[in-house]
Amino acid sequence: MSGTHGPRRGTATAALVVGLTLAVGSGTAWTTGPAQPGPSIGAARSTAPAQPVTVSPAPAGGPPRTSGSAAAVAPTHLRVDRADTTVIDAPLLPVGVDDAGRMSVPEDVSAVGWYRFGPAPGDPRGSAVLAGHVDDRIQGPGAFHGLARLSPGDRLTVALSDARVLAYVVADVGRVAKAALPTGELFGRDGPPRLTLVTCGGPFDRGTRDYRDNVVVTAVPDAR
Amino acid sequence: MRRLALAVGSVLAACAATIAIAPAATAQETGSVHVVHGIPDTPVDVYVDGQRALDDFAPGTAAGPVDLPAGSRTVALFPADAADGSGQPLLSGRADVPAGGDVTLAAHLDAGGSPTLTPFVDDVSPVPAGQARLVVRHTAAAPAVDVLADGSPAPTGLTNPNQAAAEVPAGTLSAAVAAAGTTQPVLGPADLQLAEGTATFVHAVGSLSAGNLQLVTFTVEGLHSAPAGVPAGAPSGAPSGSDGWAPIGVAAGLAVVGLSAAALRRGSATRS
Repeated sequence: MSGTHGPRRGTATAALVVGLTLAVGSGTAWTTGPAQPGPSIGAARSTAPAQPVTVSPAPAGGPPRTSGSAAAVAPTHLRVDRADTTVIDAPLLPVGVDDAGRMSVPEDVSAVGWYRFGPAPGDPRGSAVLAGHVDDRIQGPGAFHGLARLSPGDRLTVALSDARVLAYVVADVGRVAKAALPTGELFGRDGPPRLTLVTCGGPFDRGTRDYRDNVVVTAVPDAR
Repeated sequence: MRRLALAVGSVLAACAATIAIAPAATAQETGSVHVVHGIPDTPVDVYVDGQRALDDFAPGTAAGPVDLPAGSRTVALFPADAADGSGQPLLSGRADVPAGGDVTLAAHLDAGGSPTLTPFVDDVSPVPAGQARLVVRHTAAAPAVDVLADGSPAPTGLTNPNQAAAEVPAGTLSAAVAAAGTTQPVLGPADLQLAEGTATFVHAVGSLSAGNLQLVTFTVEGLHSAPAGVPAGAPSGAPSGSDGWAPIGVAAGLAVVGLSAAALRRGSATRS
């Protein structure tokens, strides 16, 4: 595991929560605390027998590196043609998260959002997530109104800002309750390159004013 | 010259214990260590348990992560031209390296200007989607400071050797350090590129009176989380084709039944 720095859930938070939490104007909560609970001086602990230490000098830290998935190339357009019918033909907009920590979806239902913090179409690994509305009472059918009608084998194209056009083929079409959406897998930044298209489906719940389910379409690079 | 014995406290040990259970513990357990050199004008060689780990470690830089075997390690700093790890070090101390844990060992000046070693726990827990963690550490010969984030005081009254942490929206943040209670930067402002799903550890080092304060920074990547969901439903709160819907709260029960039936028909066209 040398050099790798993957997520380590719950590693060291406990040491920080002992500190004092300050809420500042922007709503950012700063937690302050001591470096360490009192260093114990000279308390000779009986430790395991000395073992050879193998340490490779690491490169000196420079300025903060940017995340590998901060793509310089962005997807700009998604199109799905089926026989002589255009099922999806929508501009792609980079989006982040909303106040609730959910993926932002463009208010304009004719556009589709691309989760800009995750992989981009064309990246060598991981899931590039595209999400669009199914429909709206005021705006009418959304860009992904036809998403649930896709079938495995359907072909998609994604245009990129560098003028490349990537071809994908639908591998799976499914529907899952929003409460059970496997977000970790759906937004996974590892694994084979894939395109994940998400919209809403299932019954409309008037209580939550939302659809119960997500429709999830997975597409893989078209080797053809 | 000072001799210090440092041990990472029991809180960290407890964390390490919980982590150690999770992975298949076949390989020797290690901890991940960053080293920060914040003592001006003093290039050093760093020895861990008598073996040289870092050669010609320059002031004002950070190194790591290095994976060290978990347990109590002796860390000693010698002048960079020292022949080996024998004799009297400039600084030495013991640090408990937690299995599966992340720590920073900072060689720096205390508030009064004397060299010292301080271990910090690095919070590398997952960061919420869209955010980045910023950790600011006061490891400089200077009195209490306020940290200014985008011009506004964030943590205030931070003293050596303490830290402040926050999760902030990913992006560029302008950070500066001012004497506590003031807004005139003594260090910075510096633009920090806080990428999503990362933790950036910023150390203020050097000496205020000597005029050589600077920031030493390192970043840990891969701490991202998935968004909590994908709200791709109707942004107006109602699906298309529902123009006849009753006002909210009126005959709600009936309306729910009616709309659900309508939506079910729509849903039946989808695959599952």
